[in-house]
This record gives sequence, C-alpha cells and structure tokens, in this order.
Amino acid sequence: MCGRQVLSTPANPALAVIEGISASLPPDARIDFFIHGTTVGLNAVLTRRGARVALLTTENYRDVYTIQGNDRREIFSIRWRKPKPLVALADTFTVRERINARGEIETPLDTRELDPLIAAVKANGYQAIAICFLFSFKNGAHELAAEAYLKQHLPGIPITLSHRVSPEWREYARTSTAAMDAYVAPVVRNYLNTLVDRLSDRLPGGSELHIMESNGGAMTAKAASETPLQTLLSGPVGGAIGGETLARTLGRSNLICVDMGGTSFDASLIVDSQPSSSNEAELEGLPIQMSIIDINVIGAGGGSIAWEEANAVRVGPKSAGSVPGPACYGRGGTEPTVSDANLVLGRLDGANFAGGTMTLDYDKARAAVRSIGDRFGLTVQAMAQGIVDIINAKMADAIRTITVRRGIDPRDFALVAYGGAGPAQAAALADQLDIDEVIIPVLPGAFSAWGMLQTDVRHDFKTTFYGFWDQTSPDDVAAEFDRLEAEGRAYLAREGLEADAMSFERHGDFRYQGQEYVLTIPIVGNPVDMAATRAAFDAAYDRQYGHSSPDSRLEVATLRVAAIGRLPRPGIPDPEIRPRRPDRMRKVYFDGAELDTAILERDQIGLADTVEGPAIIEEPTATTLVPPNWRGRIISGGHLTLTRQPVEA
Amino acid sequence: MTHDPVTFDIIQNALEAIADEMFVAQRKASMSAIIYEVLDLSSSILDPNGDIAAAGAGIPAFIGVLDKAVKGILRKFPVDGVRPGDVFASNDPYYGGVTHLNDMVLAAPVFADGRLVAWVADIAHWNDVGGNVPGSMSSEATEIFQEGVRIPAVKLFAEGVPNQAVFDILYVNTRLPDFLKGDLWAGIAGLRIGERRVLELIEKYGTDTYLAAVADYMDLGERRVRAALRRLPPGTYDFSEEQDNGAVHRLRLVITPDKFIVDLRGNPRQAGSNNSSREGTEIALQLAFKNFTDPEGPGNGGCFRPLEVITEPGTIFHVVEPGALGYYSEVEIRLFDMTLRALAHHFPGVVPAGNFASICGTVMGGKHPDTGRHYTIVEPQVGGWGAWDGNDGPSGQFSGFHGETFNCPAEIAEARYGMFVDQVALNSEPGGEGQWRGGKGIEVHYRVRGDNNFLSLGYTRSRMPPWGVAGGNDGSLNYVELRRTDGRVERYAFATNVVVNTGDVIRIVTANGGGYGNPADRHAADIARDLRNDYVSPARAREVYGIG
Repeated sequence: MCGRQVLSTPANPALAVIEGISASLPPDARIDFFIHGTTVGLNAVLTRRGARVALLTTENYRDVYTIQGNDRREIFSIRWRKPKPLVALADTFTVRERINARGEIETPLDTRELDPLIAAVKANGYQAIAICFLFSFKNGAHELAAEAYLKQHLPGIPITLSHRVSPEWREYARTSTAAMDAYVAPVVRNYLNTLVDRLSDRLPGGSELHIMESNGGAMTAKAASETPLQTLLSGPVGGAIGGETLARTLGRSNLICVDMGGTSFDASLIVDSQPSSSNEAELEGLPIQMSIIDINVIGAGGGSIAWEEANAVRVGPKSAGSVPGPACYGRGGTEPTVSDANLVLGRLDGANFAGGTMTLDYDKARAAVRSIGDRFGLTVQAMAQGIVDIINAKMADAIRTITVRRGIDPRDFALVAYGGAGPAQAAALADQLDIDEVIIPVLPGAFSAWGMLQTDVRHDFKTTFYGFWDQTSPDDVAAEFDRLEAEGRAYLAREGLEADAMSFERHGDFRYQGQEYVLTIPIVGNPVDMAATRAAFDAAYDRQYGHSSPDSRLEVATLRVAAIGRLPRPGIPDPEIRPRRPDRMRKVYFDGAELDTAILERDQIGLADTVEGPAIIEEPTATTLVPPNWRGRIISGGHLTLTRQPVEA
Repeated sequence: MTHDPVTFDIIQNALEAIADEMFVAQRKASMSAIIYEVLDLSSSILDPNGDIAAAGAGIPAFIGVLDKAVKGILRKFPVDGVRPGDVFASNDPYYGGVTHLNDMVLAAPVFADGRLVAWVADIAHWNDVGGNVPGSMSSEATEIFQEGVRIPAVKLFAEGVPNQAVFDILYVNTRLPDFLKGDLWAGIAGLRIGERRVLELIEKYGTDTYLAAVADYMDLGERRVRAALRRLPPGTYDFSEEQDNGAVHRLRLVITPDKFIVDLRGNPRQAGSNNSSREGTEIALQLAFKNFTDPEGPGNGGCFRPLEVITEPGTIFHVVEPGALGYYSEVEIRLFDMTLRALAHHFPGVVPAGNFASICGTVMGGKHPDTGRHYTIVEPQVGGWGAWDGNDGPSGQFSGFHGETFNCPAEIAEARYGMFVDQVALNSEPGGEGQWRGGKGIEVHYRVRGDNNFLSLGYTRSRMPPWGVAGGNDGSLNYVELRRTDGRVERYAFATNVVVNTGDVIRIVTANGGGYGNPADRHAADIARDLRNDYVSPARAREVYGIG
C-alpha cells in the first residue's frame, strides 16, 4: 500500500485511476489484489448527471413516484419544495396489470401493450428503463415478462426491475430504489468497463478487479456493473470496514469511527466488532431500500467557516472547501475556518504542512480569526479556541445522534479518528464525550483505502415475510432461508468463490404487534429455534429502549441473508521506524494557556514508546494533537493510541 | 453572568438535541400508528416559568403546545406545590390540556440542588380515551363530557411515587387499554430521558450558566422574528372570510414597530365540537407568525414575544366550559390559513397562494375480511399547495400543520388492512391555473372488502376553495365521495361512523392549490407539460389558457 494523490478527470474518471496506478507503480510491478472504492454513482446523483430514464409502473399508480413519501423537512416553511425526483412524470409510463397483496394475478399483463413505451424509448432516446409494478416483491412474473419483451425490442438498453433491486414492500421507496439504479447504471457500467479493459492485463491470471459495495462487502467489477446501485457508497465505507478490522485485531469490540476532512465529518459505529448497518438509506432526500453501513454525515471539517448570527457565533456547515480554502492557504479565502483557528493556536505547523508540500500563512489566519473575535470582544486566541470548541461540540452531537439517541453510551467505546483533520481534534472530541481512549490508525489520511483491503465479498438477499411469529411455521421460515441462501450461493459462485470460502448470516426484522418500527436481529439456530429467536428479540429490544414486552405478540416483517465469501488478504507489514531525532519545541495554546509542546515525527516513535501531552505528532497526511493529561503510544500494526490520564488532584 | 458565546452555543445545540432525543424515544416506543407514523406528538424542554427553550416535533402545530400546558399546571399548582419527582398529566383543555381530550400532556419539573431549573414535557395523541364514539372524536359532540375521560392537571407521580388511582382510572376509560398503556409509558420514557440530559448539562456547566444560555437562546429567537417583523408597514388591517358552513370568520391585524396584534373578537359563537381553546388559538397564530417571519430559526418561546392575541370567550376561538373540542384542529387550521390569507391580501408576495389547508383526517375500519380482527386506518391526507412568483405549487404534500409525516404505502394498506387500493393519483380536476399553477391534490380510491365497516372524516375547504393570488385561479375542493355498489353516490366533508360495505369505493379527493398570476402569462412549454402530465385537460387548457 502506498499513498499518492492525482487530480480527478471528470470526463472519464476511470482515467485518473489508471493514471494514479501508472504513476505509483512501475509498469512491471505485479498487482496481487486490486480493490476500488468509487464515487462515480454517488456523484452522478449528486450532480444530476445520470442517465435519461423511462419509468414503467402499474396503471393507476403512475403518480406514486411524484407524490413521494411526504416528509416536509423544514417544518415551518411555506415554500418547501420536495426533493427533485430522478425521473419526471413526463417520462413515466403505465401498463395495465395488477398483482394483489397475496401475490395472485388480478389483471394479467399483455406485453403488446408495452409497444407505446418501446416507441417512446426509440423516439426520445431514453438510456435506461426502470420497472416497478405493485406487489412485484410478492410475484415478479409481470416485471420479468415486461423485461423479456422490452429486451427483445430494445437491445442494449439497461433495464432495472424493482423486485430484483429490492424485494420489499412500500411502492414509493421501491420505485425510488429502482429509478436510482437505472439512473446510475450506464455511468457506472461505462466506468467499470474502462477500468476492467485497462487493468485486467495487470492482474494475475484468474484474479478479478474488486469494487467496494455500500454494505461494506466487496464484489467483482462484473457483478458491480449488474447491480450498479450497490456501488453508491462504495467510497466512504472503507473507513468503517477498517474500523471493523481494528476492532478484531486490537481486541476492542466497540469503536466510534470518525472521518474528518475539509468539509464533512462522517461518523459510524462498530458494535461488538460489527459495523452498525441500516436497511434503509436516503440520498438527496430520495429513499433507497438497500443495506448500507450506517454513516452519519454532517458539514464540519477543517474548512468549516465561523460566522456571526444575531450576536452569536456559529461554525459551519458552510465550508471554504479547497478553493478558496481557509484563509491560511493564501488562495484568497478571508473567512475564519477551523484550520485557521488551529494554526493560530499553534497546533498546525505553518512551515511543514502536508509533509512539507504546502506552507500556511499565519498572518492571514490571525487576521481572519481576529475579524470575528473583535465583534465579541474576544482575543484572537480565545476566539480561535472558541471556534475549535464549537466544532468539537457539533461533532460530539453528531456522535451522540448515533449513540445516546439510540441508548448507546459512548463511554463504552474507543474513538478512531482519521482523515486529514480528524487526528487534530480527536482527543478534545473524546473529552466532550467522556471517552478514555483514542486510536489514530496507521496512515490516517488513507485509512479508507487500508479498510478496503480488509473486506470480504458480501451480498445481501432479503424477502418480505409478514405474519405473527407464533403462527409462523419454522418450515416456512427454513424454506425461505434455503431459497435466499441458494441465491447467495449461486451469486458467490459467479463471483469465483469456492464453497469452503462461503458463509451465510441469517437475520429477521421483527416488532411487537401494533408497532411500526422494526429491529433487525440474528435468527437463532439452524434449524430455526422459534422460541429462542423470540427471546433474543425481547433482549435486543430491552437493550435498545430500556424495556421490553415479552407478553406482546411478535410480528416478523422481513427475512434477510447475507452471503459472505472470504477473500485472500494481502498482509500489510508494520511501518518502519526511523531513528529518532531530538524533539522540536513550540508554544501551543490549550484552553487559554500557552504551553511548551514537543513536536515529534510519527515514524520516529518506537513501538511501546510513550509520548506525554502536551505534544504534537506530525506525519505527511495528518497532525495529531496530544493535549495535556493525554498520553500517546504506538501499538502493534503501527497504530497510535491516546489515553486519558487521571487528573492529579 | 458574562456572555460566553461558545458555551452558550454548545448548551443551545444540546437543548435541541435533547428535545429530539425525547421525541425519538417516545415515538419508537409508542404503540399507536397516529404517534409513530403520523407523528401526532411533541416534546419540549421549558424554562422554570414554562416558556419553551427547545422543542422536538414532527408536527409544527404542536410546537407551542407545551408552554401553555405547563403554565396551565402552574395555575393549578403554585410553584411550592411542585416537588422533585412529580409527574403531571393533563388532557383537559380547561386545565392545561390545550387541544382536545385525545392529546395527553405529561410534564415533569427538573430540580438541581433543590431549585426548579427546568420543565420537561411531552404530548401525544392517544387513540381512544372513552367518550361516545370509538376514537373519542365525534363531529356530533356538543359537550366535552361526551368526548372522554377528563384528566384536569393531576399528579401521576407525587415525589416519585406513582398515583395508582390515576393509572387505574385511565386504564378503564378506554376501548384500547393495551395501546393506552403502551403510549402512556412511552411518554414517561421521553420525560425521563429529557430530565437526565438536562441534569447532565447542568452538572457540566453549572445552573447559572445553563439558565443564562436558555435565556439567551430565547432572546435570539425574539431578535430574529423582530427583524422580519420590521419589514411590514405598521397599521390596522381587517380581513374576513366565508367558511364552508356559511359562517364568516374575521380578524383584525394591528402591526406596530414592535407588536403583531391579532384581534379575534366578533367571531361566531361556540357550537358542536368545532371549537378551539384560547391556547389552541394562540398556537395557530404563532405558527402562522413563525411561517412568514422566520421559518428557519429555532422554535422557542422568544419567537412569540411580539405576538399578542385578543379573543372573546364563548366564541369558536375561545371555547368555554363545557364546550366540546374534538375537531379543534380544523378550527385552528382555518384560523392559521385565514391569517396567512390576510397577509397575502394586504402584503402581496409575503406568502404563497392558498393550499388545501385541512388535516383531512380520515378514519376507516372494521373487521378484517381475512383475519376477522379489528383494523383501523387513521390518516391525514396530502393535498395541493399554492403557487408563488416563479414557482408552481408543490403537489401532494401534507398541510402546514404537519411536518415529518409519511403517507401509508398502498402495499402496506392492502396487506394489513381490509381494503383494496384501486388508485393513487394526482387530482386532475380543474382549478389553480395561473402563470404559476397551484400544486395538485390527490385522488385515492379505497375499495371496501367487508360488510359493516365504517368511515369517519373531518375535511374543511370543502365548499370554499384555496385562494388564487395576483390573478391566479382559485384551487379545487377537499371531499370524500362514497360510490355505493348500486350506483348511489354520497359526498362528505364531516361525518362520523358512516357504514360502508363490500365493493363500496371510498374516493378521497384533496384540493388543488391556488394559482399565482394571470393564466394568460403561463409559458406555452409549461402548458404543454401540464397537458402531457394530465394536470389539465385539453378542454380546460383551451378555456383558461386559450390553447391546447
């Protein structure tokens, strides 16, 4: 593994990847394993540059996707506008057909009635088709028949079937999922085809190019181009998977993973050594029925701007980004940012930033921070400290959203901080949350990539299975699981995995009778132990909400199977330790006091050496702050831990 | 106390986070769809006087409820009668309950070092609190005694000890005791979390800093609305509006440089169950006030300091005992809507054209044809919103009284309830045309699958449509049409327990919003798209736009 950045090539993003590889690796170097996290699908949605999609629905249900789910998010706004859908009403077509709630055909589909759609696709130049029929998750026959007929008349046009991307109820959410899949399909496919074409000759015989999946697993590029939606969060999930590996290898089963860069702060959880995941997601306000790693994103980063609102200080979510960037970048930015505050406090090294590739302008940072401090009668240092405190409080609230709001106590966790700006804030953030241990992983600026190398092939299969648990036959449950696992086995075999590398996890979504919200728990026993599963739900419910109702009837809503294929992992050697040079010293502000602070290079700290705070540990991709009362130590794997020391009375 | 903006910002953000956390805890633990799905609940942290510091709400119309509730409790219990460990309950609008008997308020004082430092409170709609109809809300009730059990601000816990008598009385005065129990304990869980978090803040920053930050937060809310208020020219502005039932509602706005006074004297005498408490009236006006002054700012008590409300006891906007309040919400939303309309009339441009502006509360139920179990669907409806300069109105969206609310998918309705859903579509009726057209209401068809099921509803804007602005056309109407199997057609706006049978089709229609600007100025490309989308028929396009 090595770190290198290349500029992106928006016209064909695959070229930047190929260029990055050519620049980093000599042409004769062999690539053992290639795994890639991509944001092309995500960016296509965020910038609205996806395919022109035709949507086909059941007659009398054309308007479902336009009406949407109806969360008026700005609740006081009388000018609220709904998220813009990916397919307009004018591009939505209907056909006579109807399947009922039991999966029986009420009105048969006559495929010849699809001819007007075929004519429209030819006339209007649609690049993809999404089909969502009512109750197709119960019976996919009509969607399949429509697909077969359209394929025959429209060769080469990608077709997304809703029951295939999401065999779950809720017609709006399923339509939205299918529409998004169709919307990103051509873009993701072109991208992956280019990558495969240009790179396959550099991979050893028989091995495949792998792509990160939004659920934290990996899939082959071929599978990814068949299920393009699964690549949506392919970029950001690497960090969470890296956290999972850290949890396993370091023996710390509960981790809060935070990624702080220039503009955004992502937080995710590892609970009992598993990444916390969610079965529904949303992008640009549009729902997606897909298992994804739960990542809470807020606008907070090194570039977050401090501003005044009605005589109060606010920081973020507006960011100076990389252009113009913080005032200290000297690229024309004048508004005070978190990075400017850190420079004013002496926490960043203006002369040796980003491994010496960039210098920071202290005077510009100071002038920017002073401009807002003056308005509150605060000194430059006090204002800078205030900006850092506010951003830390916001990040702490983002972490509380995924912990205390769900009844999880952050004090039972260690904090893993990475990204360019994370390690500087980590200990202060931990103080806010009363967390005693911080882990700054090896190469914090490239931790997501490190995470990707730890992943397995994983694909999720699910089916709506609705009824009272006490009236459900274990044989029916077993039959559904067998069917889902057979699908999973076939999938993994297509991905090139041998039977002994395959495993399956079984989960179900349950709730008490009368409730709407479900809790996903592992199914106990194989064959299924109905009573033990019931008891496991009561226990899980109690953990989540502080009480349970063992007397209430239990409903099951969905059965899920995760098919997992173990991939061979390249070993990553511990980083080399260079001879230690004498520490430099600098004055740094901590909570209003100016303290003499040692400045160290990370690769000069030996295994098990301790670093007492106050200290600053520098490396090319990040700067780690060790405040007073914290102690740093390098542990196995080259990771750096910070632990809070008891304050002397 | 020095002004420390950093600590204040942290505490103020934490207040919002705590209110949200209370809200989420109560929502997820609750048993009733109207709480967890329709989000008919709210939670707040209040200052020692009962003014709101921060609120978590899915329904904006619930933001200003809990201050009035706590002040109602404080009227009955002087402050030395409030002890650590107390939990108060009230659903009675004549004793701090504010809305109607279905909405139960729970409130607990928070003490630090023996000093009252805050209140935490929540409110949620309980499905059934007794009374003369299932669901407790009857359009035919004339006295509050017919609407269920009255809990007139009593201690549910006294110094930490449960008052079992109150629990027992609640449990027998409902047709759905399991739901009531679950929803009651969900409300208590919300209070417990709020109390714990407020005390954590106080432990960290100290009582004085905490209280100063709360006061500062309310001042911030006040400064923001005052800035917006200054944009309106001072003066006295009258407005009146005819209602579906022929009655005329009226208001007088008196705007001074630092006050926004709404005078509601001279409105119709109270009657039936379409009445609002004085406090409910204030809430409707606060919401309208916030909507046009500062929709982005925090929703705390400070925002409403410039607002003054004058009412006349014995009228629909200030009901007196023993008047009934079951359908208070349609009275409130009419007042909310009329206030916005008055602003639109006197200050063009400050608000969009009229929207469907009704909760359109719809209740359907009966015996499930497959399982034989009783089912009930309780849902508000989405409808069309008004256009504004440069924008067509949003289509199929909940009213200004609803916020983070979700409509029930047809696939869930069919699988779970005893109804077929034959159609989910936007309303293609005429109305709301303009240079910018109103948003579309909906037309949803439910087909009944069993005999002796029932339908209840409360819709307004069923005769008087949403208003157009600046030459835009008025919108269309909210109503339910029942198509019987023998061909008879019945049309309803308010009804309680109409019997429906196998094969009957319940056609729910909500209004298209009002248009903005002269239809003749609408761009040809927009008209062409409306035609393609079936938003307008070719005949109607010829009639109002002159083309098609």
